[in-house]
Amino acid sequence: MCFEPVCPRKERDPCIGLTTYMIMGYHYHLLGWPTDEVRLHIAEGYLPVSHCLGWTIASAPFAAASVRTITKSTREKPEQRVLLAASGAFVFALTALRLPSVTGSSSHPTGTAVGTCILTPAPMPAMALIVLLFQALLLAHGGITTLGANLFSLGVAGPWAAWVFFRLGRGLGLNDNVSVFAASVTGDLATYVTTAGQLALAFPSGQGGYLASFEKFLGIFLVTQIPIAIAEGFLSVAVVRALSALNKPAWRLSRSVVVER
Amino acid sequence: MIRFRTAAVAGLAVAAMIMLASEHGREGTDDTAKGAIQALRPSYQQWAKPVWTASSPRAESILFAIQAGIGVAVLGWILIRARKGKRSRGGA
Repeated sequence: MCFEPVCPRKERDPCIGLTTYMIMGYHYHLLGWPTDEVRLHIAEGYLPVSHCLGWTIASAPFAAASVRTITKSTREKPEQRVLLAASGAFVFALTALRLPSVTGSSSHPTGTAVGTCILTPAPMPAMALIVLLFQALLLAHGGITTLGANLFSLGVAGPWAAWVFFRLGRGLGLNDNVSVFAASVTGDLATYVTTAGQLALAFPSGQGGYLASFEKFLGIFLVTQIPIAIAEGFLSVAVVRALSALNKPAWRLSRSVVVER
Repeated sequence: MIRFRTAAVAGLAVAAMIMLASEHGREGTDDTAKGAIQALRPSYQQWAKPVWTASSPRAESILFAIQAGIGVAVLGWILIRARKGKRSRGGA
């Protein structure tokens, strides 16, 4: 994942750490380690019709706004195209990766924090939509009926949570690397918390209601997700640094906080 | 030009190998969230099916590898190209 020549010297350690983690993880797979897969998206047909419609209506304006933002920014600031492409590519690559975690389950990183830190959360729903459509149609992963719900967790909740923490980190005067790390970990976890919330709303428990059900789904996702979110945090820091080092004029023009320095 | 093409192809190949290597762990996996739904609402019927499902776990792994490969190739191409452009302009 990490391209050695573009990794600033300071960032090599996390890159190496992550690579080692991934290699070790895949060796567990080769040895036939018992694994349970936690899926990033809600599967096709696993949300009631009313919820599918509700989440589609909820995420549609975000998707429309993000398409408009991307169209506008590629027309007015052509130098941002490369950053848009890089952020999209990062989401594309990371959502296809299955990383093993301490619980013996494996799960996916989300990768939306890089684009959020570089370009604000505004263009992220469109990128999430491309990934979700690709996975729903070609990989039988996620689904067309649950597209709205999955778009809300991956493209809206995750990036906005990451953005809040990125701004918060910057506001507190923290180092950019720390802010990006916090944003990435939060964005990843927020995506899964949202998924757990969506499932809890659709399937409240008979005894404990929504809250008990939320806890149950959160338990499935969160424990597996924490180590993966931390690994993703390191990788996001490395990629954001590589991207910010290479394209200074674009940074100054974009609305991102990294630029406002 | 040849260098980033090589890097992109290498990225694709590495991603493919990783995904294929991980295929073993995919056998017998259980979708925990689906299980939890069945536990909470045993009567719930999955009302829609995926439009198309890969015929085998291996085919699915290859498709996932292609997705990761596309992402890694594009990102690597951008980073390497920008790095080269900066060097040719005399930047650090």
